[in-house]
Amino acid sequence: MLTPAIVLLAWWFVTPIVQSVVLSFQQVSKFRFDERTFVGLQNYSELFADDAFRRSLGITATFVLFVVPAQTVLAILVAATLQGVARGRTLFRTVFFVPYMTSTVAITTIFMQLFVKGGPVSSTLARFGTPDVTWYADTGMALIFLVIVYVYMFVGLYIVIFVGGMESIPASLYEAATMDGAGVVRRFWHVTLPGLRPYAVFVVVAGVIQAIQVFDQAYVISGGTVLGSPAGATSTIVVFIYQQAFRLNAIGYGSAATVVLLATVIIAGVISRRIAPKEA
Amino acid sequence: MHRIMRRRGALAVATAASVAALAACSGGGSGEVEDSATPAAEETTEITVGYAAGSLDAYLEAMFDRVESELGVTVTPVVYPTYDDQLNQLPNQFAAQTAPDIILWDNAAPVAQYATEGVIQPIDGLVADAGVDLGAYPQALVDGWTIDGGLYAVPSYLQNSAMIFNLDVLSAAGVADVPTSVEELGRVAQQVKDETGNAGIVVLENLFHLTQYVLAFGGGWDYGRTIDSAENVEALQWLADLYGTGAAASAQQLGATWDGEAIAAGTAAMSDGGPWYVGFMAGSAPDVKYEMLPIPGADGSGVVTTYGGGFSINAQATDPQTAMDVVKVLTDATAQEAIVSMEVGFVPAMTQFAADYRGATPQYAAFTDEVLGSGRTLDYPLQTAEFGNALVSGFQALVANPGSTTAAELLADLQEQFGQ
Amino acid sequence: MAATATRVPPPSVVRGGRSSARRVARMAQLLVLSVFGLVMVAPLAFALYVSMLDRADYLSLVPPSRLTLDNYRFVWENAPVGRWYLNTILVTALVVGGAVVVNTLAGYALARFRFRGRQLVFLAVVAILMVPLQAYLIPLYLQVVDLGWLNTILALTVPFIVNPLLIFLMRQSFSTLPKELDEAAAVDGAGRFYTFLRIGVPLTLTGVATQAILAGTWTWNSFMIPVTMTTEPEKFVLTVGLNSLQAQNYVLPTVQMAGVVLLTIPVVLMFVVFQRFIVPSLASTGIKG
Repeated sequence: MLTPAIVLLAWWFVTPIVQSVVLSFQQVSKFRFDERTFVGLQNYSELFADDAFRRSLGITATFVLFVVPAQTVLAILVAATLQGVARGRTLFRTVFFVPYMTSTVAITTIFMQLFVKGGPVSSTLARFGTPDVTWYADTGMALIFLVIVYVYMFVGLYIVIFVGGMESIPASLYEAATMDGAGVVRRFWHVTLPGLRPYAVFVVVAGVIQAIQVFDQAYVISGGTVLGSPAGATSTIVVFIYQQAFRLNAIGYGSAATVVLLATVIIAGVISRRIAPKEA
Repeated sequence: MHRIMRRRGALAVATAASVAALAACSGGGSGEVEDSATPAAEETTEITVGYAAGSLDAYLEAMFDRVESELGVTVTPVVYPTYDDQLNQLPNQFAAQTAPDIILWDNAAPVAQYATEGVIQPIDGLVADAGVDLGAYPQALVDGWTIDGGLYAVPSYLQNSAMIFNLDVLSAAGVADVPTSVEELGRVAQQVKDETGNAGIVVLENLFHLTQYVLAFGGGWDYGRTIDSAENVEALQWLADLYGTGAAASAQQLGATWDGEAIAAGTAAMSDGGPWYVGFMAGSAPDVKYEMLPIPGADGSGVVTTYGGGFSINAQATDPQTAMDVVKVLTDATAQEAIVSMEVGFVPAMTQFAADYRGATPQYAAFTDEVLGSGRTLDYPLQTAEFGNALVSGFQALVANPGSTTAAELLADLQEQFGQ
Repeated sequence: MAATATRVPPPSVVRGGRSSARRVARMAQLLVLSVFGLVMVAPLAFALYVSMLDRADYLSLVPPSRLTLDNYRFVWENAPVGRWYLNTILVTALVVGGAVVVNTLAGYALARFRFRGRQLVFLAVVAILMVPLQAYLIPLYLQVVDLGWLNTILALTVPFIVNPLLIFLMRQSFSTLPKELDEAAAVDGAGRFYTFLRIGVPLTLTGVATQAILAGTWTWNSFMIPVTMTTEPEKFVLTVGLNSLQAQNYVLPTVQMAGVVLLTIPVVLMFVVFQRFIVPSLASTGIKG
């Protein structure tokens, strides 16, 4: 049963990824990939000395730390609110999912209009003390802007997954809890949340993996100017990799950055597996 | 070479398959189809031409038809959705030997690295044999396509930098005459900010646009020799200081995806621009009064960069001779005339036809043959993309934290990294 | 199958009751959902509005009488949009069809079977997930070129049928099912594949439908792959084609938004269709239970 998946994975994922790993030890001619020289760890040593790279790791970590808790909690709360609504349920779920299905370019463009200096959202928030600037063009606010756009786009996906998860919780558990006199909050806490456990694992793991790879939104706000604008404030790790591989044709160097990213995440994963209560 | 062969192989397979299908459908009465289809696929020469989709689509299709009827050569277009995509895809295509035989560039800036890496070929000899008269083009244009003494493209259309003035915003700020020197430019920008609250100058923060201000101050990059010249330092510091008071702003800060949107919306009074504003303003802001002039310079004279689009030939092209014949048709007098008559929105590269465009376009009157002929070329350092990234990011940091660094420090740093 | 009857009883249905406090709570619940829903749908509404503006009216508020379909007409007349739709539908259908089969099988195997290296396969699947497409797109491109698949539908479909995230999703779905069901089937003498098909799949229709929606949405909206693998306008998918409608030196936001609407409507419809499978209808489940 695994065979088709393994064959396809091996050919279309593992092979090119292994090639990337090999490339990370090589210096590759810009336009002739067969002209390569083995340079050992040179790409890596340059990488660790590269402020732009270290900065992109930090930016990505910050981004993930904001995005994942925000979208997970928001999605659970909305899904729980939707639980019990019979009429309009399908409509709500569709509506919540619309941003995820809409193109990133469109959503980001629209949010840019909302968060421009003097725009509807930015000027409202300015009354509560945020600086009155164009968020995505301000070095201090641009990353927060990306977090907002990103959570907005992805929360619908996770709502749908949690709604699906709640449907799989046996009704008998709710009945038993109600008999025991549990209220809405306690039922949520003692029945819904434990029942959602496998789904929550999926949402957090998938959420981290996807958030690390944030790229499209940063790409859109840098349209016409350099990637990572303003002043590198949105230069996430994938922006950095893309910049090296596609804009500067430094394929070996970009591949080294990929390997470092991969290693970091795997190590983080192993550690969290050790620490976290066993599940999965 | 083997790319074309492979393509032809695929074509033969496709033909055979469709013939088989036809035969199956019509019960075997299709002998004629079989006979006529197969040889035809082998006889026609095929040339691929790569370009970014956009305003040129219909024009290029018409020119490809001419190539077919005049030379009997079939042109297969390789279309990139945008010019950015073209620049992203081409390196992979060269590496995989799938790059088109002929490439239309929008400007010479990215071409230097392709030329020095030898993946596009110098065409001086081919051009001379084909009898293309380089004297028909403004000198600046030919210079722009000359890299290390070799010519790498035949010009197709001309672009030039200019200053765009939104006269409505200027008059609302009480400005009667447009500025004619950089000092006035700065003063007027501040006046616009003070009187109307709008930005005086809008800047699309990329290498090309920052370069225009450097040139206005009498500076330039000289391929990396003069990155940290006094003029360049002065220009960037001047611009950054204008940002500090709000007299200048980036297109992004004004909620525009490029400077023209801010000019059309009246959220900024002035921007460096070019002939592409003509079509855009007519379509997007027909009621806005604007003027397009050479960029005010340090000594009061106008500064213009003359550059533009041209066709290069892939060094891997199987048949450079045929490729050159195709390029010749794509850039001959008929093709130049069609740029004007088909209202493509571009300025023809040949001086003679640029004059026709000027006659048909009153907004373009200031850009005489003399102005264009003596225009500056794009003299970026060789590592253009790397330099552009570093310059723009550095400039943005300078604007964001005015106290922490200076234009002099930034450019000294860049000189060390990218200078020669 | 009796097991379905134990699922999906919204608590309020179970509880019934109609005190006024409960009615207020219900109103508040609907209000929160409606406000949130409005916020979520606003961008698409905005895109729809901008797509019907004249170029000169961009970003200004105009009465409905000034709205126009010119941008759609422009797109339709200047591009083979119908062709692009067909290409996109075909590519998406093939990927979704393939994905549902391949990833569901793999997810089931990972969730149910104990075999040597199972943990290793699972870790590999998760590790692959971490690698951004941007990082291996160039080697992938070279592989596609070697196969001679450039400008063919194969390049846009075959490499993307298997998806680590979807395998992970299916594995999670199957692991929520009680193992006793399988064991019961095994006692009845059913083979592994039969058990999977007759017991596993029907109980994870939610997962399968979710998978179809995700694979469909990703494929439909994907840009970087098709822009790399296709260079002939008649082979373009919608995202690539619509992107080519920009003017040479600038973007027309009104036309761009018309493109967004053309791109989005079909995915929303697709979601509405697949949604039915996510919600096993209330009649057949909760009320009786």
